[in-house]
Amino acid sequence: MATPVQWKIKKNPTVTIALAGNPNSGKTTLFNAITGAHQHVGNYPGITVERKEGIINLKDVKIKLIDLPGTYSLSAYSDEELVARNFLVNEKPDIVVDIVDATMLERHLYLAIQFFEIGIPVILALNMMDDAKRQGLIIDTDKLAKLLNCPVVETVARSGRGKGHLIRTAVHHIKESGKTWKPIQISYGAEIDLVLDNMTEIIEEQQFMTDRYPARWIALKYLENDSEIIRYGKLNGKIAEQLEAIAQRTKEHCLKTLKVLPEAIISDYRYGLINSILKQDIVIQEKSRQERIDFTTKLDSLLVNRYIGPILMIAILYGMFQITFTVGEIPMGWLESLFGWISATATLLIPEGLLQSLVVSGIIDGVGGVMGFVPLIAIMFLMISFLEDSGYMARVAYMLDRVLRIFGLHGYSAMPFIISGGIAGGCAVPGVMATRTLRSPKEKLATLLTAPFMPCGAKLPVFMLLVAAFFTEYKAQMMFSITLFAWVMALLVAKLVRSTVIKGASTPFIMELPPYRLPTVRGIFIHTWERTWQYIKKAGTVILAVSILLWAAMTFPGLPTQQVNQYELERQAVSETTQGITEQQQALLEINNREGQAALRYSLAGKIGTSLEPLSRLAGFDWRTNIALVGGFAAKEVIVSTFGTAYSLGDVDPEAADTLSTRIAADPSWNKFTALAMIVFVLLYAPCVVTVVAIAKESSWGWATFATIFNTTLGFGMAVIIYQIGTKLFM
Amino acid sequence: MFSWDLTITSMIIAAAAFYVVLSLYRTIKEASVGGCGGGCSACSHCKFAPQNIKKNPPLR
Repeated sequence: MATPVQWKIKKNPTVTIALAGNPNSGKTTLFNAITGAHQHVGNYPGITVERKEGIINLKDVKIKLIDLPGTYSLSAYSDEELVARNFLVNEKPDIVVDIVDATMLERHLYLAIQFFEIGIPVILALNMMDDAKRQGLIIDTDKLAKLLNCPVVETVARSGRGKGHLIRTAVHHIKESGKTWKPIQISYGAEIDLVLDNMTEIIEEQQFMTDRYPARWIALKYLENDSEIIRYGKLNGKIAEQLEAIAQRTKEHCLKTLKVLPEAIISDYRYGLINSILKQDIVIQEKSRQERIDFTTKLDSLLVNRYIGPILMIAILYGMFQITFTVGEIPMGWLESLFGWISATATLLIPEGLLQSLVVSGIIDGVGGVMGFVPLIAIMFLMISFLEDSGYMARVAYMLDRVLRIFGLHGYSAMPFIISGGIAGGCAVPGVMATRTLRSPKEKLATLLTAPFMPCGAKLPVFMLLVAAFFTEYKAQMMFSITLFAWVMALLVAKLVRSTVIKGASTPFIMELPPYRLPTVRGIFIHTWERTWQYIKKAGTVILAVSILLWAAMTFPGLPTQQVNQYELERQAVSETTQGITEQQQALLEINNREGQAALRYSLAGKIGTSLEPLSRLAGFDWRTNIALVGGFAAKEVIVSTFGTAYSLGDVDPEAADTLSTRIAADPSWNKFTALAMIVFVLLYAPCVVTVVAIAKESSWGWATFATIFNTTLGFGMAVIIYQIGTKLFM
Repeated sequence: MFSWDLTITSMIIAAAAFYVVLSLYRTIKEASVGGCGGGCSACSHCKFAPQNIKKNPPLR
């Protein structure tokens, strides 16, 4: 045991506990269980890239809990590892709770050993004990604690079991250890130990960075060729060169005599220590070898199979859309009836005039159009939450790596694509930000430029509306095809940019596949509700406000008095000359309808839409569609609400079709190919304002501008091709 | 000539315009510092959700 180091710690009544652990050890779940924070738990490796804090009180002790990024070691190999290490060194928490997957003790203890080496007080949380028991593993926790010389507490993060005991033990251990760092010394064999002793002596003599790290640990990092320590050392003293020279000599010697690098030897010895501990009857397998064949391995042999895996993946995706439409149709009908009733009631209660038009056409028909899709969105989110929490999404990313590689992307690109809506219903903003996990700047750029092609949650209502209007018989098939088309376009564009403007070699992909877990019903419902609530909230706030503004733009300045008088004269003429009440009503309705259409065309938005028509007609888009698409630059949901208002303002026939999709289907300026062109355009055209800002933040404004112009041009070009070929050949 | 209809409608439009400008400003500001500003419906699987970003700034 090395000399204990007493760090100078400010008198602080708050106790700081850092939660550390390998990715997918259940760290974030435990953090949520302890702090009660509503934070999503998925199976993406490295979900905790950012720092998260929670405050809890235990009697008179205030505890600050820090959720560190998931790491495999404390080397400077990845940003996450560096972030975790720097936190320990700079902020010196009172204790580290290392969350260890009880089913994979050997691998997870590797990180624990490194905590022991740096010397920080540690307590082990033996998590997923329920899984361990299911697998027939019997773990002697007391013996493990004795051998590791640190407290070990059994936990089940998913149910919160053991969390109270864990925190109480941690607080007790802080009091016992007196906030003293006690680095342990592991033997790395005679030769390495000799070098380490020599280096430690030099470091201690010169007090080289010893205010931050234990001396032997610094020496170890030099031998491990830790880039961060070497860089930091260069700034801190002349002996850095001496230490680098010793490390270099050791490296050459190891390569010459053992044909391995010193870091490999160090790693081997650490695993050797872990094995020697575990072999002392720490883990006993209860069941026979045959029974030990893990459920995850069995399931993976099918779900990640080279040939069957992709087929099953496509089948799952297709099944998801099929269920969404089949089940969602019923509550969607209820919502449509509800909005119809609200609209009729508002018409009765509010006197005829501007306010009535605003409430009925602007608010109810505009926002109602977006709200009507809530059941479909909720059902889809429910299934996506199940897939995420079960661990299947990580398999999807794994399988997609093979495909992504062909197109110049990386396995890690799968996650930004999925987050952006690759399985439908995500958002490009976090998708673009998730590209931070890509280390190669070129692969990152290619990913963030193509991720906005995915069918995000905001585009879904547009697709659902058009699919319901024109492809009634093939709803699920169409939604499935749209998703596949988005992937094809993203991959082709990625290939294009990787072969032209952002050329460069591919980097290797390593990914951990977490074990399958049966998601909890509560967890799935919380995640579904959070997403659905965000959708409802957005429809009731920003989309509502935008709908009001678009209504104003579609209403003002109103028809000139001369034209209004003209329609009034027409109405008078009909009243005086036409025989029969039904015929008269029909004729008056026709005049009112023409007046409504004329007023809409004469409005500010109508003029903008009409001015774009000469160009947009090539893709089959009329002036009303143009208004909706311009509004979609702000947020894609606006497209549906604008249609709702536009068709409500222009359509004054109370006997006309009642839902927005049937109104669009009944419009003679629409056909199947217009709908297809529109779907493709919405899928590909400029990302929404917030995504553009996110792209600029992650790359540059130049690339953000490129994404806006290129995507719009590509989307329009594709829409024109589809519309022109479709109408010329098939109509 | 004074009209309640026009007055109330104008007030609603003005409030909506103010809200849109404010939301857009807030969203863009947050997106430019690393948060997303709640501009989407996917917060539950988003590690950059504003509620996390605001309270817990990144480590570095």
